[in-house]
Amino acid sequence: MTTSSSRALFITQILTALNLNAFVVKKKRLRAWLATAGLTLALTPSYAGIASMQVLAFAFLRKHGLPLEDLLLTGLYAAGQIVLLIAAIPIVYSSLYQSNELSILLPLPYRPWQIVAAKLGAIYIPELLLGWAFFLPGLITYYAYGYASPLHLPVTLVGLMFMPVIPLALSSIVCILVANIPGIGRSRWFWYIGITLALVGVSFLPMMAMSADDPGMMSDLVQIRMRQISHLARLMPGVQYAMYALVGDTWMAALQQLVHLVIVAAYAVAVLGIGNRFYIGPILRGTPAANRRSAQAERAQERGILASLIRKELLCTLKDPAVAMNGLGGYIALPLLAVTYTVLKYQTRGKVDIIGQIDKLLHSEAFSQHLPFFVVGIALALAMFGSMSSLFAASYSKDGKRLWVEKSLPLPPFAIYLGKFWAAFLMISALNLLTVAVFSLAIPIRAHEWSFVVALSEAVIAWSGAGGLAIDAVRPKLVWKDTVQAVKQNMNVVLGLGVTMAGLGLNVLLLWRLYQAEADPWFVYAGAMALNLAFLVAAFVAGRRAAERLRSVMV
Amino acid sequence: MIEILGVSKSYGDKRAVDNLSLEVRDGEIFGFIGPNGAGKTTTIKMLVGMLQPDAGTVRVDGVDVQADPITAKLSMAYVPDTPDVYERLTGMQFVNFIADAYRVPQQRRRERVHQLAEALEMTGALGDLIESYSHGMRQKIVLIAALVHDPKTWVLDEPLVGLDPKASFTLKEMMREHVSRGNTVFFSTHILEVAEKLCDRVGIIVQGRLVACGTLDELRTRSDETLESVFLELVDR
Repeated sequence: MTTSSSRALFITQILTALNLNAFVVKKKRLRAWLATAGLTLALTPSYAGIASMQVLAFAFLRKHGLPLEDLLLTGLYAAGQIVLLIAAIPIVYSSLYQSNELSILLPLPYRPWQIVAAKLGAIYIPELLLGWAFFLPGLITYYAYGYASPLHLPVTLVGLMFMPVIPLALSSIVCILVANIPGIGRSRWFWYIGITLALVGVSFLPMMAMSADDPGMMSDLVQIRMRQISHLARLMPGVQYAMYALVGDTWMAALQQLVHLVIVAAYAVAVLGIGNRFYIGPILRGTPAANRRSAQAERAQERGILASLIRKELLCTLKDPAVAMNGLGGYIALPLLAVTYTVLKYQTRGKVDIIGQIDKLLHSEAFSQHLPFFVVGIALALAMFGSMSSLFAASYSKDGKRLWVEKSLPLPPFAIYLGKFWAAFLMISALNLLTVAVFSLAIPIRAHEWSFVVALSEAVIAWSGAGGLAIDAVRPKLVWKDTVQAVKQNMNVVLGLGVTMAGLGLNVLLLWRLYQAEADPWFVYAGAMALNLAFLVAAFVAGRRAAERLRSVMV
Repeated sequence: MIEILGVSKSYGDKRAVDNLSLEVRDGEIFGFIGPNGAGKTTTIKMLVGMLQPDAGTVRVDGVDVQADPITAKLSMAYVPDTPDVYERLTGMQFVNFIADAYRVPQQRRRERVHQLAEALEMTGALGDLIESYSHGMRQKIVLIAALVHDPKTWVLDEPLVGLDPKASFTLKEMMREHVSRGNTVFFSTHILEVAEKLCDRVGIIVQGRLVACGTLDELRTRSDETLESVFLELVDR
């Protein structure tokens, strides 16, 4: 095995895992760069928040002379390690168990550990960038304030280069070992729930580090929260040496870093060994049939046609991680936000006053006249999240070449349209109801107002979904390599979103006119509902016509 | 009975099927053969209502496939040339879905699934996800789903590709048994020996045109000619 062939394997993994060719290939590069720029813009506000919070925390300590800078820096490093651990799990799982390239790689003259190393190496780069992005603002501030001498910098830089090794190795070991547990190891929902719970946990990290407004509180916050985070991170054995190396005296720090590097090497050997034995090994030995078998055995069972169509759509969506995560994954953020708000309200008891301020505002006499607009606004905001799902506008596209099945069935095209509509609507609707239920604990408006929020948001989700589905029915994207392309790189999804935004814009226009006219509250509710029901009728009329395109779509 | 009357279909400038007419009678296996890109799959897709012809009419048991596609489809089974199916479903879930679309009653469905799965040796795999199936097993699950409603007319596009010898033999036996009850089988194949032994009549399509149609005896110019030599002669002409 030559170095050049190993390098070729690694480079191929990087190119495919990060889709780097899309940035240089003439036909794709514009879209790739635009998507990257859009994503960067979208993430900038939250990243700016994380970075500025770190800078402000050091500034606060310095201003008030609190000697907690080492604790803060090691706490931030520990938090970074936890973030890397959580972020790596879905990527590792997807890379190892959701790709079908092993059939290409295994016949090639590579040793199994080299394949594992190349796959994890490709994940190492985004993990490294994520780790730096998270940790560097705090580290730079630490050095800028002169808390560490420049002589210490080389030791720190060495540590930075290996920052993701321990979390990536641990998450890989966990993924590989869990995936070998018969029955649950390959269950996608086991992973979804696990990753969602982990994300909920991570979403509380920034909350723990919320800034306080007096030195005593900040001192408590850093001493208690940062210590908690550091203790949490030390559950990853070896991380503590990297933390000590950041803040120790130069020679002691170098020694700590050396110990850290030895441990890092041990992790690398361990993960390659475990990957060899438990990832590649079972494939070479042949996957046991028990792992392939569906958990729920099914017998021949008759159902109504619509019920059967809906069931098929639900199964195809929920069992396909690419479709489920892209269609529903974005929506998960909203219930998480709702949970975070609700917990904040009860946990901080006024220290974080977002909910308190909303409470106060909603109960003020001046606001009572505007309450209907607030209620309609909540419904539209919730619906906007639901409408951002690609489930509707990629519903035909995700079938790809398999659309022949539905085309060949003795069913009118509109029945197939309705099956797709109801399946997507049930999924989005369930998440919307969950979100409303959680928010209702945090935002103090009355039950009948929440009922209106539910009705209006569901109506908006229905028309925007029916419209998106109609767009996809007219010109579905049926040629793709994997379903990610069908749901993410699909112009129909963008067009569907555009139609939704235009409809929501008309809603805002209506509300603005009603506000100017100082309309009666019931008129505001009735006006908003009437407009959206009209959209719903129009969307289904368009959908009925668009569904007929199925007859002429080439598969 | 299948009637294809003056059917044409073009993709842009390319004429895939050109004024094709043929008739498949009840009680016969009709083999549809031709070189790659000759228009076999396009013809089959028009026959099963998946593609609209530019001109001409297709009738199945007297029902115009374009005018009343649902009634026409109810009397047909279609197996495509590539078994692209929902990989995230189990075999049984897929069969149930198709059976629901054809309104197959529960008892009948159980009997048919049992009978077909046993015949094609798929009983033990019905609970597995289709993504774990081999190409041949996918072909078998498509066959089971297509035949679950016991239709009168079978339209099979390269049905033997990927099947193991035993399943291939079983399917050929099933085709013979099906037509012996007065039903119709229309299938395309590249395996000329199969067409020669199995088919009552054969149609040869070249560049969208039906260049020959009839029993093997009718197609032969000499008594010792095989279907292969007839085919090669017609294709090279």
